[in-house]
Amino acid sequence: MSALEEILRRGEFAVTAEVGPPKGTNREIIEKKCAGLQGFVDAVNITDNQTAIVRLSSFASCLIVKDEGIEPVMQMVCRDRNRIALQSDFLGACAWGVENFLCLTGDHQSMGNHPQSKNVFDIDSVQLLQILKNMRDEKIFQNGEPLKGEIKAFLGAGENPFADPLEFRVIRLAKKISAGAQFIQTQAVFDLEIFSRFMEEVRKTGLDKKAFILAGVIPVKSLAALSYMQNEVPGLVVPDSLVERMREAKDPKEEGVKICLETIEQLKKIEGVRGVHIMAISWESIVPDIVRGANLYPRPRRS
Amino acid sequence: MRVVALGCDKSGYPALLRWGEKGSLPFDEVKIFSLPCLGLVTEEAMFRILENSDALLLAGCPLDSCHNQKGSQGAYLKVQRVNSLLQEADIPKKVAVAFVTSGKVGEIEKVSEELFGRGK
Amino acid sequence: MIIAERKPIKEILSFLVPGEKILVLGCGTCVTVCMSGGEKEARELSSLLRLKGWETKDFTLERQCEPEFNLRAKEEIARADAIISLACGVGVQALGECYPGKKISPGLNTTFMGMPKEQGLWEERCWGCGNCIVHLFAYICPVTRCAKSLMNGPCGGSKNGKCEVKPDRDCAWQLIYDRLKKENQLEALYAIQPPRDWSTSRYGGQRKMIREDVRL
Ligand code: SF4
Ligand code: SF4
Repeated sequence: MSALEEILRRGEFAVTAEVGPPKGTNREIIEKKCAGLQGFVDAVNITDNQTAIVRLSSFASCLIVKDEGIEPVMQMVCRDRNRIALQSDFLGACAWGVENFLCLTGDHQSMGNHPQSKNVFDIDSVQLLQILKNMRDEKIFQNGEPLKGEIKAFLGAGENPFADPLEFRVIRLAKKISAGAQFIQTQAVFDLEIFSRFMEEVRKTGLDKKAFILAGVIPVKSLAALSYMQNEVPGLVVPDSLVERMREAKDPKEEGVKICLETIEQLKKIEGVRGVHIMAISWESIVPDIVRGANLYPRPRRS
Repeated sequence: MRVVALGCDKSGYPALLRWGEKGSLPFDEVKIFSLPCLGLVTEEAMFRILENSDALLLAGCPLDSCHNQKGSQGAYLKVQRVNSLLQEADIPKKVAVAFVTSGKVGEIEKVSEELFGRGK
Repeated sequence: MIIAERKPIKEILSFLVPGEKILVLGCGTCVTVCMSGGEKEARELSSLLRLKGWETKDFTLERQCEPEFNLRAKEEIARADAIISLACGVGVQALGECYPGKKISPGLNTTFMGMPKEQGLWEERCWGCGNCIVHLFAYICPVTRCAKSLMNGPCGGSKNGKCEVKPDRDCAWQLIYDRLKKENQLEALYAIQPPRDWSTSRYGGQRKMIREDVRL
């Protein structure tokens, strides 16, 4: 069982963070980021060519993270690989001892740095979850043929409580959970009102009992970053009041951390939220401060 | 410069005639024809005319009071399309359209000058 | 129907050699309806090329995607040095098959299978996936109209009814959701759609349809 799974099962409030691999071969970049996170998080998500920008692969980065003694969550998107490649990489990662997987649809390539490329989208994230679950539990490939060997995999999915149609989000979450998602990492929460409503629906349908829900948070460095997220990132909702706060802040970095800590405080109180996922994109060094500030340090040890 | 001018019976043609009567037009040759409504001039016809002339001038009722309702507007869109095709193909010919009432010659002068310069 | 749009004039001109006798060949079916390659457009292009100094003729066939029809332009084609076909890609190929050795250039870019939505606006509707399931999705094809061909609901980028890919494109899943909700049929979306069999689509290689019962 992965440490993340164990901690969640024990009922501890989990903390994960996100690390984006470099645009090159420099593994020290990942190592350095890991060193900074050591002891502050239960696992680290490695993004898979996020926003369709080519980076060192998620699979390889996960191995580097493991080498550094941190548990990776391997993100897998459906944009670039078909069911053959996804199953193959899953087997490879399992053979190397990666135990957490996050199945995502993936941003469209038109948003990235190779917009001329073809995409794959052979399967979607719900189908990917189902395939990986069957590989683990039934020992079969998607085509029904048997596979050999042990698979220890804690399967997760993303969910965006802020994307439209809002009312469909819980249905989609239910589909992901019944397809095999054991944990959920949500899109970053800025709007607690929408998120609370979403969680209310989640509890009503009992989904919070069927999967561990980790709420996403993003510490923001500047007004520009927050405005960008408000206006340019599809599927993020940032209330104007937060933008105002950032605008008026003397020290925007400090304010960003403050907002993040307040959000975590609120999230802890929401029934069904079992942890936080900190996405400090290109600001990984702030994660320890946040974990400490949120009274989530030290992290529990695995038994 | 050889110019063909087409005007609708209701307003364009009478205005064109008056424009022509003024004489001393800055063109080598101007041929003026009438037709019931500018909406009848197809893009294909515009191209055909340009094959044997340097410029085409259309004159019709004002956009908001076209005798045949959408005639002038249709002509306007077609003229734009023809001009953009000519431009794309680097063909130095043009179609202009003037919206006039029968007595107003000024508008024709303005449009012809804007588009074809002072001619010759 | 098949939607196509005219290639840029400069590209068409680049296919031609000065002095060639040109035949602009229109097609009377889909591309006539979408106003890019019918008789009218063939005449215009022909005239435009004359203005550029070529000797041109135009001719429009009922359909270029069938050899039988293509044979009807035999004489016109024989008299020309170069043909510009204003048919869809199928038409250009059919023409090429009929007239080996003839110089034929495409005058259109074939874009999609779709329908007119408003005057001057056409929208893609079908990818020809070979296994139609639109009835499950309120007659809104997610294969074609969702930028990621998602089968189990919208991605996280759907906002205000628009797709993350282009702000002027509707999110197919918002449309599906809205319509099913209105019809009180949302349960239709609860079931997990299994991975699709794409072998019936173009991923299975070039496709053929054989009807033994009508073969001679
Ligand atoms: S399901 Fe397949 S055949 Fe049906 S409309 Fe969509 S792409 Fe076309
Ligand atoms: S926004 Fe909607 S249409 Fe666009 S990729 Fe996502 S689900 Fe598909």
